[in-house]
Amino acid sequence: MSAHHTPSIAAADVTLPSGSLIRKLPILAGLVGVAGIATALLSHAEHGANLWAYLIACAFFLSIGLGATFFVVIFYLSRGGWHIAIRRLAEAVMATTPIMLLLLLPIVALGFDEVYTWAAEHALDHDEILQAKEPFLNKGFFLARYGVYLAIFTGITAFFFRNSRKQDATGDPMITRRAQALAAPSLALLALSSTFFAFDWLMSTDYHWFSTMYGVIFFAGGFMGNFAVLAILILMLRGKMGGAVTEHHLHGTGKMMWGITIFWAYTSFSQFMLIWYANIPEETLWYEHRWENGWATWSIVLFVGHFLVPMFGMMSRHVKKFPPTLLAMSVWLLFMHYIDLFWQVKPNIHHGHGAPTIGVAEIASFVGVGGVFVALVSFFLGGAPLVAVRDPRLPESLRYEDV
Amino acid sequence: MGATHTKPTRWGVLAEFSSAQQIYHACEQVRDAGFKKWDAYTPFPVHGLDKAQGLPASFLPWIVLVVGLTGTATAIGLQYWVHAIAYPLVISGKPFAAWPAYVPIIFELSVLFSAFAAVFGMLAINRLPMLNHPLFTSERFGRASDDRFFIAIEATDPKFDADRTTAFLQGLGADHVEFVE
Repeated sequence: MSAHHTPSIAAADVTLPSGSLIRKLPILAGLVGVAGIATALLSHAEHGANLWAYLIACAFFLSIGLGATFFVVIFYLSRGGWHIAIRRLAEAVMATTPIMLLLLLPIVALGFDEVYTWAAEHALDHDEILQAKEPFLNKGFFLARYGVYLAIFTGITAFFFRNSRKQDATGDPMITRRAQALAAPSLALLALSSTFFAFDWLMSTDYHWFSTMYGVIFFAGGFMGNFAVLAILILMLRGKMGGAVTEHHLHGTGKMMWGITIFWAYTSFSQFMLIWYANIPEETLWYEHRWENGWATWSIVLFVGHFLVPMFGMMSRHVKKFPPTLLAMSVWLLFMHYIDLFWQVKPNIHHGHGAPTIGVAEIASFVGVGGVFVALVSFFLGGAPLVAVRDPRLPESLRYEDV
Repeated sequence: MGATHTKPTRWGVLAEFSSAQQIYHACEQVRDAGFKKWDAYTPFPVHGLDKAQGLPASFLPWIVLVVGLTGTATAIGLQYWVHAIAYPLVISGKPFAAWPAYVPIIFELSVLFSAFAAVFGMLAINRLPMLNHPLFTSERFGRASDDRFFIAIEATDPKFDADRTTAFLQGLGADHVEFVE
């Protein structure tokens, strides 16, 4: 209760020692990653199905990196305080974003027109819809936009990452001020670029279909995935964080994760209901493809597992504060997020005839890209104290209490 | 200071404290002494006071859950009855029981019922509106909404004893202890 005591954390107490497992993880996980990616890319499958699997895995980890970027930027913009004790963990996830985007390049090199069939030879012939979209949907402009996303993702994540580390030395509150001032334009750029990324790399795999909700659903899934990864990182590392993290931070992270699953359901259902209501063939076909060839089961799994299970399973505060249940929900929701992207992309193979099979390519891609992701996150975690020790709002976060 | 005479129709005893810190620790002591029918009154929310008082978790969320799900059931039942039973009408070629169209109303009624349950349930649990309260007979109690902190222990508490409870509260550092009729 005393108002004069300002809690603080010493940087040395929250820095991972050089011999610790996390510091060794970049090499171990990196090797697994390279092996997995090589397996996925070199295994040949009909219609480039291995590249589709690789695309889904990249989109999964990129969406989580983007989710962490949104998290850091939004909380600067809103002058948030409670998350400071766990922000370093989100920063490490955020820093993977541009590299996850770069991992998509093998698709361009190895079989671009097998995944993006609108770029195939003769695709434009006799296709009036595609001819109308051609000024936007052509390989040159597509790759130019990719360059813009790369520049935006790199610029924003590098700035917020370095800015936060600079404060460890000086504790200068102006560093926070600067981040707050740049948070608003960064958020606008992020929202636009991540939306168009989803349009380009995911939605255009079925190039006759379109939905303005697509970008926000991609954001919702990634933002939720970020909180799930964050919860797992907190549970793994809180013993090494100098007592900065309490059950209240777990509760806060769990509440965000829970809230965003409902937001995901809201956006996903909004997309579905409008298309169902209007009943226009070129739009309804997309859902038809997700109701045949065995996809109906996965559609129901998503509704139950991505909405009903977390909605009622995580409603109680005890679930969010109790480490085993929070961990279980986080892992479950990450699985659901993968299924969501799998369900969005995979049916589009061979013009709507992709089957709901998770094969070697899916598993190798997930393990491969995931290995690189884990390697990068652990590398960035090892480079600085696990808590932003000189952030002016840290005392507020250390005192954070949540009923 | 304190009680000078006793009356049989006593409501309880009221102790006045001058700081949030004092009342926080006083509440812990009252809690640990085993009193049940008592409450604390502060001019602003004191962080963690509910724990210091040993208050159990509120029952309100359960009321909200049950009433909210009643709203869900009402919305499903009402729409199904209207569209499929009472007045079946083909609307843009959809089936009578077209569940996607029901969802917005299901959401709205669940939220509406939950909000009503939260507000009116809160009022009911707090026994509000209450037109008067014995504490308002105290001259000093008005400062509970200004700059003073109060603990009131009711005479119906099994542990209540006029002299010992008064002495107990004085021992906790109360500036002033009085009986409330």
